[in-house]
Amino acid sequence: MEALLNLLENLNLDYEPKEAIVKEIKKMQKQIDIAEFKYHRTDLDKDAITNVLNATIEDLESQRKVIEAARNEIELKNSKLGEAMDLIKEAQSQLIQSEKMASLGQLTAGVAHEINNPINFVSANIKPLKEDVADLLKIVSLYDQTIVDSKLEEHFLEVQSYKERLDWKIVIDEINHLLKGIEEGASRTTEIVKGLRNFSRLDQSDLKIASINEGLESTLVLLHSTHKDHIDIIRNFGEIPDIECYPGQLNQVFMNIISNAIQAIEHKGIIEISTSLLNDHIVISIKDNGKGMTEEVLKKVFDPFFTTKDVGKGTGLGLSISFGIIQKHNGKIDLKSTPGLGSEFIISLPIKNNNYGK
Amino acid sequence: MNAKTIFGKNFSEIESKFQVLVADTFKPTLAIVFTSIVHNRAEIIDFFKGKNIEIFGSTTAGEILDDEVHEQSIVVMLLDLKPECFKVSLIKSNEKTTFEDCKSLAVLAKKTFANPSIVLISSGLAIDAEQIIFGVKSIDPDMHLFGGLAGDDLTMQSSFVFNSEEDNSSGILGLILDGDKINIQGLATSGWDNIGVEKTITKSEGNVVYTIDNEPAVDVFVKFFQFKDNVETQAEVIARNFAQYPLQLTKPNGSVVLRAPLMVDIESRALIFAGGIPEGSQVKFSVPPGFDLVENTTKEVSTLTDHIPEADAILMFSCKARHMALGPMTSDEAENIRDIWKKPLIGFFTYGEIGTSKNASCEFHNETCSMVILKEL
Repeated sequence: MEALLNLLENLNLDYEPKEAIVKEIKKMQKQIDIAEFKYHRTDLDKDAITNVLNATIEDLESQRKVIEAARNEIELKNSKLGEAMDLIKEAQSQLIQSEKMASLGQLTAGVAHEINNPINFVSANIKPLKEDVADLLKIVSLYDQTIVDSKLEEHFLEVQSYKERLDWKIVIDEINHLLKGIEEGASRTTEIVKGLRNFSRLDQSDLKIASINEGLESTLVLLHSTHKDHIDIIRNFGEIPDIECYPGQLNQVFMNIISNAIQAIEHKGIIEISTSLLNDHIVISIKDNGKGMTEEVLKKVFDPFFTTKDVGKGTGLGLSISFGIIQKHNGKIDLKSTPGLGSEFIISLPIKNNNYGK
Repeated sequence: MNAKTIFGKNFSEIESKFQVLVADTFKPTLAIVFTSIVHNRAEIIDFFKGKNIEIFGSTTAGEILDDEVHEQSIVVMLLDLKPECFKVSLIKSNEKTTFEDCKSLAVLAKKTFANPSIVLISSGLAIDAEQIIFGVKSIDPDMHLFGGLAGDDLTMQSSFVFNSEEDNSSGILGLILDGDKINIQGLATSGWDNIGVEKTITKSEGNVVYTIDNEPAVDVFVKFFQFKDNVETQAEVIARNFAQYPLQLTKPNGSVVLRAPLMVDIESRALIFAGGIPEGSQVKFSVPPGFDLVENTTKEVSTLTDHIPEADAILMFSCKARHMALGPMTSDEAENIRDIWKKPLIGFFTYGEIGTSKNASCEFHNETCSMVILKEL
């Protein structure tokens, strides 16, 4: 522009047109300056905006990572908290269950003790009573024989008539039948008391040498009323040795499994309970022909709080507790089931248990 | 009131042009002088004092006169205001006494006129200019207040304000006007656009910001704008670069202001802003607007004609960052605004502006063009 203005200066022009040309040249120069400035400024601002946006994206990305890490940590903590909550709930339920079982044990022990004394009287008295009644009947028979032998029938017509009215033979049969009934009742009561006492050993804290067959039998005694009408119990109890165990806890396992088996049979059915010896283990099988379980149920059946029962009817802890008890006995519990055909629990327990709970 | 302007590349040009202007009946009583830091202010003061003309003067970061912008020059507006209509006062001040000093200025204004307005310029590079507003408003929240912060050609060494009596690098200079005799209206417009996400001022004291989102403030600016210059050895780098990218701050009363960093405290890696940014504030970065800024500013300023259809003189306090963002178009902005009233215009490029933006109360700003229009009644 400088050169142009110098050139203009050298031209012999009047002031006014010269000024007009200078003004136009300056205006053009300003437009060029503005265009150049806009070009550089746009470049500068574009860079600035790009930098800010990139830095903002970086910032947001690192914030996102921080938030994600925090979220993961929270999720992990939540999950651990959930597990801890489950453990607490399980422990709480186990405590409640243990308390219930302990209370049941105390109750059964009390009942067994209270019944045991009077039934002992009955059991003890029944034999001499039977002998005494036999003696009395023998005496009556001897009297009858003497009357016949001494031809004294006409003096005992009234007695004979009364005996005929009473149907004396039937009375004698009835007395024998009643005595047999009392004897059988006393015997069954004694068995029940024995079962109750056996079952009530669950609060014992030390390992005991106990009979598994007896444990199963006493559990069946307690559950008798729940199945007597529609379920046949088949006992295939083998010749098995007593084992080192906590009998009360194992009774709890048997009660859970047999109760489930009873509930799985809606109408008529069979529960087959077998025990056998396999090397240094005893094997207990509890098999029912109830409704069975689906694959999905089978996968979860030992999970705490899993239940197929209606809300409020089951805690979902019975089998998980049973699983824990068998594990602590260093045993194994297996389950086979087919929907519509039934289920079979197979428990294996070591005879000797030096490492209980390890 | 008559207003006449003089431009000079040096003082002797001013001197000779002054003689021409006052040759007729024009008898100026007040000289508004905006000068580059390179000129001898004592010479200017002595000259006008000798002519019995009050001086309202400031150093600048560039001068504006009518439709032109200049650098390293002197611009003067001579006004023949009646002496009883105005008063110039310079109060020595420092960063710690800004509030009290401005309070004193407002008290003086109230004592001088029943309905005063103040055009105020402050020197001092590290002051918290928001305290100016707080100080004046503490005396009268409705007092008209306009002005800006003196510049020093971006050397960031010292800025000055001066009157007939003194020249001060740490002073508050007030031109107190009688509002009953002079209609004074003003408007501050910006146009800067915010960008990015909100950030939090995590540590600050007044106008010194130590950390943003818990990172040193300097490092945040360097990271976000990828500055390559060495900020630790070049103070002017901050003023040239960072000031174009101010923080946008929304105040509790809802008004939005821009805060431009002017200096760095390298030891603490803090940024010193022209105005206060309270700790806990939410801020955003902002970038210069598009090239339609000139048209938008003109349009907005022209709304002032509803309140002041005619003018005697126009004062313009325009942020230095605007000059850098608009380049050669800055003179268009001055020209357009001058043409609204077609009266003499004087101004300078500031380190901060005081004024009222649309639908808001008086605030301290950066990146704005703060206009003041005067009309004797």
